[in-house]
Amino acid sequence: MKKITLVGKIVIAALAVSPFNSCTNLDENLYSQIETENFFRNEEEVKAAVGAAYTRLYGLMNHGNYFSTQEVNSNEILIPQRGNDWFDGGQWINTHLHTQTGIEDCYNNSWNFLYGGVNTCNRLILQVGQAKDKGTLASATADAYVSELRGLRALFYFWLLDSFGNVPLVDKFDVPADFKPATASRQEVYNFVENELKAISATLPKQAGGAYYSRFTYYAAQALLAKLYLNAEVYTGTAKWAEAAAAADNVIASGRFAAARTYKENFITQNQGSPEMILAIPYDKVFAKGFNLPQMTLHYASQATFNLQQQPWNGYCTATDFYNSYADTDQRKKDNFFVGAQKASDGVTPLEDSSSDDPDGAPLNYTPEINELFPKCQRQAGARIAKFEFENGATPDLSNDFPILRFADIWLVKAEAEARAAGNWDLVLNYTQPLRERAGLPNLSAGVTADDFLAERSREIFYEGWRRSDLIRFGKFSEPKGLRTTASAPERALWPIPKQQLNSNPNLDQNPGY
Amino acid sequence: MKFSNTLMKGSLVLALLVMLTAAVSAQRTVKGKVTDSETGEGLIGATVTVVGTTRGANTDIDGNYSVEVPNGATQLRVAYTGYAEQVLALGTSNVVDVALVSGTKLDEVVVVGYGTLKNREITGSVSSVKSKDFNKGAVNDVAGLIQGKVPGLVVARAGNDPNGTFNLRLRGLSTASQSTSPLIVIDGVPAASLRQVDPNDIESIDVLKDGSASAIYGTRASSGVIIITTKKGAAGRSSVDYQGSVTMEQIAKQVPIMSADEFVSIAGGTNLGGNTNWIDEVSQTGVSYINSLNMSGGSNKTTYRVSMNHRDVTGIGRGTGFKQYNANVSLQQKALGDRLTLTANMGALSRDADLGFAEAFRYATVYNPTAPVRSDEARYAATGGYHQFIGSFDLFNPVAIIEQGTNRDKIGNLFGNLKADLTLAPGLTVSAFYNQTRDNIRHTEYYNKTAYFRGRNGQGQAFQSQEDRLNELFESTLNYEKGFGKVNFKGLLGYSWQEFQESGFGTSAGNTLLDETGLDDFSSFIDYYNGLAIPTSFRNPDHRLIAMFGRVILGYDDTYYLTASLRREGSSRFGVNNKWGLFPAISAGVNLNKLFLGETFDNLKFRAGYGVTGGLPREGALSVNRMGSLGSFFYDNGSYRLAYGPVGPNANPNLKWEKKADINIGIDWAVMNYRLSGSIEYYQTNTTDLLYPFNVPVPPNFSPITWLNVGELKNNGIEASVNYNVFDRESKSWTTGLTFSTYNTELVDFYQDFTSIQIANVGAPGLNSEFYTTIAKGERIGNLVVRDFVRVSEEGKYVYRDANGAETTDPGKAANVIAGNGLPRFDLGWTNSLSFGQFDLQFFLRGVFGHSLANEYRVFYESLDPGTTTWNKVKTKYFDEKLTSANATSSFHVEKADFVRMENITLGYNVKLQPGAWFTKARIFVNAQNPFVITGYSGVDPEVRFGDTGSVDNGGRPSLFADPLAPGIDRRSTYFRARAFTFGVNFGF
Repeated sequence: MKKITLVGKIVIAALAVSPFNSCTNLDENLYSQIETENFFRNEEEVKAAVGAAYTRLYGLMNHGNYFSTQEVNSNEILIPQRGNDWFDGGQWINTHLHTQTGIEDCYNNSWNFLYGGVNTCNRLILQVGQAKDKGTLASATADAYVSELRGLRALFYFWLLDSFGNVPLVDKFDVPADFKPATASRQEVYNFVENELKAISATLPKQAGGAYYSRFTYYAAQALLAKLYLNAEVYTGTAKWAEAAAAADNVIASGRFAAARTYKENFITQNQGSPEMILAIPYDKVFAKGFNLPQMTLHYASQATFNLQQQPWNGYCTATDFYNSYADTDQRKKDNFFVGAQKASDGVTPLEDSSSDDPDGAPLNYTPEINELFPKCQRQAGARIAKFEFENGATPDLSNDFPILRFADIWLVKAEAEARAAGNWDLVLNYTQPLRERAGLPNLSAGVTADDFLAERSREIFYEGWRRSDLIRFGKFSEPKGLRTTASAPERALWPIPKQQLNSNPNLDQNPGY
Repeated sequence: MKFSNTLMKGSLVLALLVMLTAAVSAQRTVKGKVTDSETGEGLIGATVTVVGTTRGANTDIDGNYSVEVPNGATQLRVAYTGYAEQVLALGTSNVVDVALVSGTKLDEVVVVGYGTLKNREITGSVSSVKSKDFNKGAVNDVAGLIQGKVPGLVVARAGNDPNGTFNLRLRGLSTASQSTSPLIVIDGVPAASLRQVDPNDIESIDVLKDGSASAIYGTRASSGVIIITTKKGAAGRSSVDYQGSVTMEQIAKQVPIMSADEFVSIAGGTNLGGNTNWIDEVSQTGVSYINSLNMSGGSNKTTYRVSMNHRDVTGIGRGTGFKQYNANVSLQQKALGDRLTLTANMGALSRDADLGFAEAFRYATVYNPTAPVRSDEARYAATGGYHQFIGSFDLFNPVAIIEQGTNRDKIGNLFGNLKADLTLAPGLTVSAFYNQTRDNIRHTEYYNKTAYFRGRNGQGQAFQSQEDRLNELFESTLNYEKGFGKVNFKGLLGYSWQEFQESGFGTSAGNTLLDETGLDDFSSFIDYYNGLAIPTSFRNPDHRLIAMFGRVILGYDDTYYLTASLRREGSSRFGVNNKWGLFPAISAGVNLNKLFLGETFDNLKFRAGYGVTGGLPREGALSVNRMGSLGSFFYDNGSYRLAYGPVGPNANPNLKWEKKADINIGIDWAVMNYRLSGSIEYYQTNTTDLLYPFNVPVPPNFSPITWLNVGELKNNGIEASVNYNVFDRESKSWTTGLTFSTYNTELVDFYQDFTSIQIANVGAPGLNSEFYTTIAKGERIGNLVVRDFVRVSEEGKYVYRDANGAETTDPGKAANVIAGNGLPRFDLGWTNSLSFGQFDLQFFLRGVFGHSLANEYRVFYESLDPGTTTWNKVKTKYFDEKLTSANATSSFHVEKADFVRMENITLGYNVKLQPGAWFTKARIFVNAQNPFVITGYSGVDPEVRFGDTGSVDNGGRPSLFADPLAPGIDRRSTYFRARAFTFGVNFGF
């Protein structure tokens, strides 16, 4: 045997401790997820991915999101500061008083919600296209998906156009990682939405209900186009009344939609059968969560009225002037609001605000009157939102579907567009008649004014997210209203670009007046 | 291998010869005892050798030895780890007792990464704490042993939740990613859980503080490294040691609140006629028992140690505590003519924890003191007979919370290590090490059908989850050590492979018939059949770390020392092109004493080091885009289908190591024959490529979060420690030690275009979208930025300063101001150890200075707003009867929280034992933890809060991740602070 030197031993030992090839493997395996490039292998996977564009909408009815901001900003709804509750950085007070600055969370939440939707659609348009190129997806199926995705994207852009106005237009997903899009003018955003809706109307299915329920169909595109044209004068300075009426008529004349027998049927827990649903979010307590209205509006003690599974937050209530705009005989007044003494689910046991300093005392009594917006609004003040039925034993996630585009709204769009085109508000009477009759009211009488029509329209589509743009279109947005006692600057008709967004993208311009 | 065979045979022959020679030579037996000069305790395992011969012996458990001394021998050498070696002249006496002095720190063994060094060889910043210096008393958590002992290391725990853990922060904040606390290495296993080792089984804790010392652990080491070495058996007589103690804990401080009378008369609260002390109702005297038994011993070939520990701990909060059993076996066997050493180590832990509800303290603080605990009124039948304010927000009967819910963890931990060291040639050793650790955590919660808190309105609610973790480690090293004249060389080469697996499954459901089966019969929940039960399931990407490393240590003439190391390490968490990082370090020391100062100092060493360490993101799969279930369903032709989409943050394939570079300079000194010694150090660190989940715009990104490497943090500080042996006589001694550290963490840069961001939402009720903390470029981390409070007006309003310096009562117009900072500026630790006769006394004071706390109880419950008498009011020194303003956070609520705390005092008595007694050692002791604290802070505990777990209300849950960028917030979820008294015994057999 040969003598092994010390150096030799060191070499041998060094080899012994040196890593083998397999011992430098740092590959990462995924277990409960899959790499994106390994997805989209078959039609079922593509479909599951496309579904994510629809589930993006579920955040709409969360507290503190786009819808909340629209409603509070419109002065139809308020979230008063109830003593030590609901100050929340002053965002709801500012939004109600039109004194927001853009630092408030609700604007950033809205922006993130809307652009999150845009971006999801952009991504899926790209990925569906890739699946089509690879042959994973039949050409026709892929094209149909892309049309729907473009429709949903147009909806998100419509909301952006309506609220923030001047926003960046991003229509594709494969952009450089450091891409910082610049602000586009409101006109450009308008043009984009209009062109997209017109383009896809040619390919979207002219179907409703069944397999097409809650999907972006031709009728959703036309209804949205009607809303776009109705507000075209606000958005671009150029009125498009005739176009609005025509688009609305494309929906109405199809005969696929109609006014429901009662107002309430549109808003009950099982409202998916309503003939008024042009585009609905198919909320569900198990599958499609996010419609948190009972939490947002009810007083803590009202948990007992509906045996809610979680305690509500005592926030949202209705502006007194808005509540009072309903005649007592208006069925919609009963349908839309909770007022008066509140009872447990047995209908007998009175509820108590157990630590109330309310002048009316402890028994819970929702009063339409609201003593002040801040800082010490009474805990029981304000009519609460009853429009959507709260099922007994409800979880914080309602199963009621939410109508983004509802027949009655589009019906009144047509009425307004025709009246405005003709310069004759009496033309609306044919349209208001069935809706008022359904509410147990006589029709408006001849000589009806723009204000009368606006009030009627608002009563019908209360808490559907349209009050702000309606007020702006009727030139009434900045006027003092309810607890907002001073007029706001005209620039407040647009929301501020959120500070957080300006910080992360130097190419964004703040809206005038902020 | 002929060479070695020859050598082996040769040495055998030689040994035989020596033995024969000895046998025929005239000789005598010298006996004696080796003791610690300070404590008088016998030292087990000390080596006694006859100078000039091969004769030698080890001392037994009592420190006794017996050695054959051949004629002509004149000296005995006595050596023991951590003590100064002594050489004694042999006289005519056959009894030679030796008291070893532990003062010569130079020879103390310090555990550094992958090896040990003598203190004199250390060139980086390393602090070593031996078991005899650990904090005493009922310490149930390893970190508690060294609280205040290591300059630069803050060990903080706010409140005394028996299941809470300490937060460790070394030298400020140098990362915001995976770990802001040091890497824990237990017996060579990095990233081990502190839980798996019992405090009683620890021999020493060594803290590698600077980059030059910790870079050998490269990755994960940017917050420092804590190396824990457990006790091992020693050759000598076998021994049995028992320690037992009983501890009583009581509330030391609660939030000051109004009495029932004050609540009615001053706050105008509703008088419900009762008078309930809610704090008393939810608290108790916690009685805890700790029993530890260990056996150790062995021969020259085999040594072993077996230990068993039992802890039965009850907290001051009713329904909180844990029972824990833990057993450890370590075995060392020599083979192949002592050239091979095999070391095996196994441990098992079983812990049943009652986590209880910290919320009970919160609601006991604010519940109406005139309300009864229980009521026969019919309307409370639905809440199980407990009084509840049904129509109120965020208010629950705290007794009902405790009695109607359970919140438990069952934890199992098993680990095994096997290490083989083979000496190939003198000075050349090759080692292989394998470890596997398995952790199992089963979490259960149940809220019964009448529970108002999380009870889902009469349905009951149950949670159950199971988490499994597996950690595997393989390491091999090659060590070479040789002296060349005056040069001493030590070299190390190594390879390390480690993998972490994590997976879990959980479910929550409610709506059942029987509360009795609620926790154990999940199939009875109607929620499952209605689709309302919620499942969770995950397996994280396995995390693998692979490293090659090397180190060279050179010493010249005991005067100059140089250490250089390099670690190349890769992590599976990084992008394809950036998986590997290089972590170099170099440090040097010079013994100035030896160089030119002669005998003025006993020791004067100057050292300086530079090192680079790394940081990891706290999650994996960040470099790839992922698709997964969105947990949300879309409507498709009458039914719902599961939607799939991008999950997790945006992919960043370029993600790479966060790197921290630091420099450290220090001086160690000792005078008066080592009676007075100390060291002083200065460090400066610079963390670049900071890993953080940054907000990015959507579009172009699909997720608003991307992990990026784009920030820079700076830290600097001074650390000093002094130890003084004031006197040391026959039966009296006093040693005192002081540590001092300063801290400063600054955010140099964050992401592009970043100026500042607000974090740490204040919370409900009413203060969502208000923030405590602002992170800003160029500012210190931890600034509490809130409204600039001036005074309370005559009308009872908060008055603030606005942007123009004018006064305003409008919270919306108030300007913000830096009202304080949550991180401390400096801290002090003062240790004292006295002995007199059979008694000994230790006490330890700790002070932390310069940090502030936002007192959230005051934010929410101080104003006497008549609309808010739902809640009882806190009544601190800031209380102002005029104040009726609606709540708004301001500098009024940010308080300075400097404090000095007597952490613990121990008085022990060592029973004098007669020869032939049953015991070899008998000691009894009493200990007090937290007997007093001096602070101006009005909350429960002025301790530093290093991270924020966010705001919770109405039964919500705090985040599991504590945001290190938002320190200094005293949330309402704090468990109360306790004071503990322990009585204990320690017997050796």
